[in-house]
Amino acid sequence: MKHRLMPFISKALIYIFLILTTLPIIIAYLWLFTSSFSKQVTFGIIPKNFTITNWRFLWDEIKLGLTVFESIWPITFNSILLAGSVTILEVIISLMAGFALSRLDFWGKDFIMKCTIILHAFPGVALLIALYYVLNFASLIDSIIGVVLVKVALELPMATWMIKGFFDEIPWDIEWAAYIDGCTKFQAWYKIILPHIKPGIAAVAIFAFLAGWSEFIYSYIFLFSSKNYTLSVFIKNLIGDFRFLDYGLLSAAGLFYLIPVIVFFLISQKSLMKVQFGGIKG
Amino acid sequence: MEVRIKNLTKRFRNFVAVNNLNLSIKDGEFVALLGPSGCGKTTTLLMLAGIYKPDEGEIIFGDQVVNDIPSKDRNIGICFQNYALYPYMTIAQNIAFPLKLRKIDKKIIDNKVKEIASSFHVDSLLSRFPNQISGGQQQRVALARALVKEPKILLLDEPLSNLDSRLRISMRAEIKKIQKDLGITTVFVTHDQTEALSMCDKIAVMNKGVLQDFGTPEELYNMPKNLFIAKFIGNPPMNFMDVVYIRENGKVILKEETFQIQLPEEIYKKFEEKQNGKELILGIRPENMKLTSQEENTIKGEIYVVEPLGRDKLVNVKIGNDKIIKIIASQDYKGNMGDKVFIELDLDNIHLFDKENEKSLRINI
Repeated sequence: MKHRLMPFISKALIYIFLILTTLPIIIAYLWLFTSSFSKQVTFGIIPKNFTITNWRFLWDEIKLGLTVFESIWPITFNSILLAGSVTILEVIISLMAGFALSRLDFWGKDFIMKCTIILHAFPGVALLIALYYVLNFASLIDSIIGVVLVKVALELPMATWMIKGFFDEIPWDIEWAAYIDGCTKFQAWYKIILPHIKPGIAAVAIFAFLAGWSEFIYSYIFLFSSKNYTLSVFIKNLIGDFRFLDYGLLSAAGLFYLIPVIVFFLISQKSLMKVQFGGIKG
Repeated sequence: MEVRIKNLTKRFRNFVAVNNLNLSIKDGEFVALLGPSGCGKTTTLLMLAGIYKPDEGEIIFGDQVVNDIPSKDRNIGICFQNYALYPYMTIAQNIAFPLKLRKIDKKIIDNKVKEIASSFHVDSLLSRFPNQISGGQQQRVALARALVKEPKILLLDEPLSNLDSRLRISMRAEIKKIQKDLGITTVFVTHDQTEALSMCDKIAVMNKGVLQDFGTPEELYNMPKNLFIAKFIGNPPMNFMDVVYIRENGKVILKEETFQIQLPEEIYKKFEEKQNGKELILGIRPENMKLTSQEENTIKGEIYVVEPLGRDKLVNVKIGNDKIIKIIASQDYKGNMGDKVFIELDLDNIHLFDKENEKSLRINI
């Protein structure tokens, strides 16, 4: 009897520990969900009086105190534009850079690779003022393209390293066979090598999209006209005036901000699971 | 197509992978590049394929120098050790790939793929993917892909190393048959001397980037030019003994601590004359010795162990304190561990090497 009980208890202890540590996060999401659909919440998570008025920003303009907020749809479009452009640019550039770093031998390659690591470790916030000057000089301040370029530049090292790892896994003789079968360098890259690293491309694309979607600090600093706002800035502005803070509205908007991420994750989780930072699994 | 390699050298940083290689391969010949790993044989193959660029020298296909011609325009087929099939394509797509790149009409491609697939017995696998078929089948597909574009030269990079031993033996014969049927000039890289001996018309033995000898399997086996070739070719390997060359009264004697062998005139005339007391290495193959009870002009020893090989027996005989010699004896040989025996050498088939430069002393006629 004792023998059977011991593993059960130790297992139970592990589960209890895991449940306790994840509970705060689960409660936070639960709160977000329930409070967005109710007028009041008791004990933090139990909803009272179902309502959808918190979601009124989807069809109405919102007034909080004296501030009138613009419709959420152009702002959502801005967010998609930002995240989408970051994704496309990052994937294209990192695919080429990663290929070069993995397959070609050129002068200064080691130095470049070290630099990319350091660049990634560099806190982006420290660059805010310098970036402001640069964007201002290039007249890209207060434009989404400016934020996209900044974001891509800062995310690229990581993406390139990730893609390089996938390229490293491809055996040389597959590439050689392609040349001998009659491929040019570009054809071999496009027809033979890229299909090999589809999971890698998917992973980079997902990370890039999520990074672009949740981007806040650069959007907040570099975009000031309301027509250029993104969702993260919009939510920040909802909090703006504490006297009129509407938690129901805030949580509904937050949930709305979350939906594309969840959908995106559900679609792409298979590829995401294959990422092993530097390789292809199995 | 005729292939000539002239003064070919390839370096990687400071390492000389291939050193001043000269080879001339006739049209339709099946040539092996044989050597231990790191001897430069694969580097040579990849230079023929156009993957590596030579640092010095020329590669000539027919009468055209191809040094600066990219792989895709060299009209060669290749088959790698790991087959290098494209995993995201079906077998049919894999075989069709070289043809597709040539923008050949789709119907013709389909016909050609079917034709070559059936001649390689992979026609039932066309819709599968490479990871769904066995190693031997992948091997055939890789060969089919290499040959479908009817190349002038076929390059094989250790194509049998990943197969199990039974399959390897059957593929050996099969590749040889295909090569002879097509009459295609073929260069075959291997570290396995049995494969080279059994399949190829000629063998180029390489060591440390340097060509040791280029000749037919019989030449290399019967008259190895130096100690490296003698050690590398033949299974079980040749036996070697350190001896001293003694000439007195018109007689030539090979002397070791525990034995001495007198060479008749017609034998020692085949070798360079050396001064009295010169240290040499005597080499003799296991099949060129006999176990007898006769004491004269033989080597005395004691049976160390007997390994039955099925068709015959490999007798290990200890001479002196620690020297082991392997001898092939017939299946019905009845000797036991510890028995005292005498070894008679077939003097027609001995090899003598200079101990310093390791070259054979044989005078070439």
